[in-house]
Amino acid sequence: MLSFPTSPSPDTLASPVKNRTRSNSIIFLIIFLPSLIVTAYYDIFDIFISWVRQYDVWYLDEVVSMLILCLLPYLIFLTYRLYQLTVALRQNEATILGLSSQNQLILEAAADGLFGLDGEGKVTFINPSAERMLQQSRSQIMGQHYQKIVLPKTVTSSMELGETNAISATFQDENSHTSQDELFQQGDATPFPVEYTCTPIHKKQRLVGAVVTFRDITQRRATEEKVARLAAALSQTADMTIITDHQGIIQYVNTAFERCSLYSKEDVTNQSVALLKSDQQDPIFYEKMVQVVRRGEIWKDRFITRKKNGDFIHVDVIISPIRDQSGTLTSFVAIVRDVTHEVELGRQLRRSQRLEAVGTLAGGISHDFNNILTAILSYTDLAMDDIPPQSLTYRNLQEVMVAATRARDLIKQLLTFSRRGERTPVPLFLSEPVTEAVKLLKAVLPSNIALHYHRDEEEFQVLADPTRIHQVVMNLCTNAAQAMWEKDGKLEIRLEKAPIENRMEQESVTLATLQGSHHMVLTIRDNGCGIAKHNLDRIYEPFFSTKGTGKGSGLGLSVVHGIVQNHQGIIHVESGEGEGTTFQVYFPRLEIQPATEEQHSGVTVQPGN
Amino acid sequence: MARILIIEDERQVREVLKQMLEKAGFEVDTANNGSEGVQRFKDNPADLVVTDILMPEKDGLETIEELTNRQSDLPIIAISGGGPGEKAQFALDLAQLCGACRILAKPFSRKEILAVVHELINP
Repeated sequence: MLSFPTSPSPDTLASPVKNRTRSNSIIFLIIFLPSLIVTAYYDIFDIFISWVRQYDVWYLDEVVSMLILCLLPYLIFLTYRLYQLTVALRQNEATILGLSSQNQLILEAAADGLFGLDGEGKVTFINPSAERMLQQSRSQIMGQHYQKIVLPKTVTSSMELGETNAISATFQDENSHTSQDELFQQGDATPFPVEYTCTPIHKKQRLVGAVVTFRDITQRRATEEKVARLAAALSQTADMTIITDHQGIIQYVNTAFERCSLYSKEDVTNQSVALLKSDQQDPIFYEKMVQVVRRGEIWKDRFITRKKNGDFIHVDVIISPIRDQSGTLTSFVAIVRDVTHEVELGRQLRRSQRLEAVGTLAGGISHDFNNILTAILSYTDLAMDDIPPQSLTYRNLQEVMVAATRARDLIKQLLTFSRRGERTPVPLFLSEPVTEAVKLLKAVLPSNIALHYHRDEEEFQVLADPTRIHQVVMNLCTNAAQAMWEKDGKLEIRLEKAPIENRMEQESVTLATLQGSHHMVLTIRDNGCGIAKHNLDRIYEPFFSTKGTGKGSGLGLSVVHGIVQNHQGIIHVESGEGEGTTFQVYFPRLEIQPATEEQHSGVTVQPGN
Repeated sequence: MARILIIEDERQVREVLKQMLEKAGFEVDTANNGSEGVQRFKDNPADLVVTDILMPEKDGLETIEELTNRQSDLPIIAISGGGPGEKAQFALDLAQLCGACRILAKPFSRKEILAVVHELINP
């Protein structure tokens, strides 16, 4: 192992030249040495032999000869070895130089920062990227201790004293250490987050230094933060979010989803999104959805899904496809909003519109009549199929058709006529139609019912349709009479100015709005069987009836309700089972604009407070 | 054979309609009210539904809504006894909003009802 931490310096670059001079001398020696030796041999041999012979010892001759004979090949051998060594040395030098240049290039080119430390922790070399990241030149950094580069970490309980960062850890335990959450500082002490590795360098089992490679992760930190923010936004948004892969397997759901659907993240992750199906839609509905999103289009709709506990909810859903950079469909994102409340509101609105429409449809006898006529016309038509057309029966049935058709046309006329009156309510005193109705009632009510009628001397005028008022009285009194059929009944009809202090027992918002306003109030009170309290808010529904089958159509009160509404009035009921019933109908007083004097067409009238 | 479901609370109207449509070559199922009608449809979907609007408990408009939720392209004929006039017209308009394709006012002749039915489906 050659000592590494020194970078090639200018003086070492000159060594090949020196080596070449040396090797030339060696070659010279190698070529000429043998001849030199041989020549010298004889001279030396002669000298030695002469010197030895003077002692006249017989073996000295031999010894000297053998020495010279052995010495010669050995010398040649040594020379050869010297030559080999030189060649090897030259090769090594070249390799090292090559490696050095290569290393130099690598260091220069590396994007990561690199610096080396000696045994004391001082910087011995540094690459250009490190210089750039640390905003210092090589001359400034070389020789500095690493503590000038690494900012001290805050000591946490999990760290031991003395081990403040990865570099000092390396110097301590002579192992590699990596750190991802430390800061280096630039020349002007600006810190930046880094990820770095410190590797120890050993020579002869001793720690002689370390190498640190590092990377500026400011950008990565920023991206991580951005991702964390987006994830938090997704997680916490009030709309439910579901992310699936391209096959509909759920990968992610947010908190809002867990809260609303009652499924936890664990329940649904890696399950197919079909888990959330309800059977409230046709299978075709789901097939269509799959087709659209598979094509990569956005799908928007409202449907019904099921919570974990089996409850159904209405949801608005938008499903968007997600593609990767190559354009391949990788996942789907579904944003889901619980709209059960809106749907319910919509339902209620439509329901109240419906009640109104249906209630007014029921207003009048036309409905029943049309059903009857349909039966007559249609059955006759069918019967005529099976009769020979020339027969008398056929002709008679034809006459039936004619008559029924006439009845139909007559009804149409009557209705159109009566509707004309309906369209323009007139200013009137309520006592007119009410008194008419009372007259009729007196004539038709059974004898067990006593009728009392009271009306105020002074009256406000109201804007009303007399036929309709008549109908209100008739319907309410018919109900009252039916409630009293078993006993001695008392039916009270009152027509008075409002407000009436001693009647205002209940706190009702609608009644409160009447305070201080001018109304006429029609009261119809009976001492019959009364209406159970829990039925009171249903009595105006069409067909709702407590009378039992066969007794009335159940439409009477819904008709009354419709009429009262059309007159901008209010109807109020007090009742209880066995307690009798009191209906109070409030009609607003007619206010005539002072400028106009005509009471009929052309006048601007406002029923008002 | 195409199937028609009639939802009508008036017995005579219901039965005469059934006869007329069966004679015309359709298979006919009937229901007395809206709830029964929707249940019948769920159990055995018809190709066309004829429903009255004014019925007890669940009226025709709600029935139409439920049926169209179940199958959005279901042909529905709403029949009404309200006669002429703007209030009846309002109800019919509402029926169309709810999903009825055609409206027919009572009393209608056999020709009229068959014409409307044939506009929508064939036996």
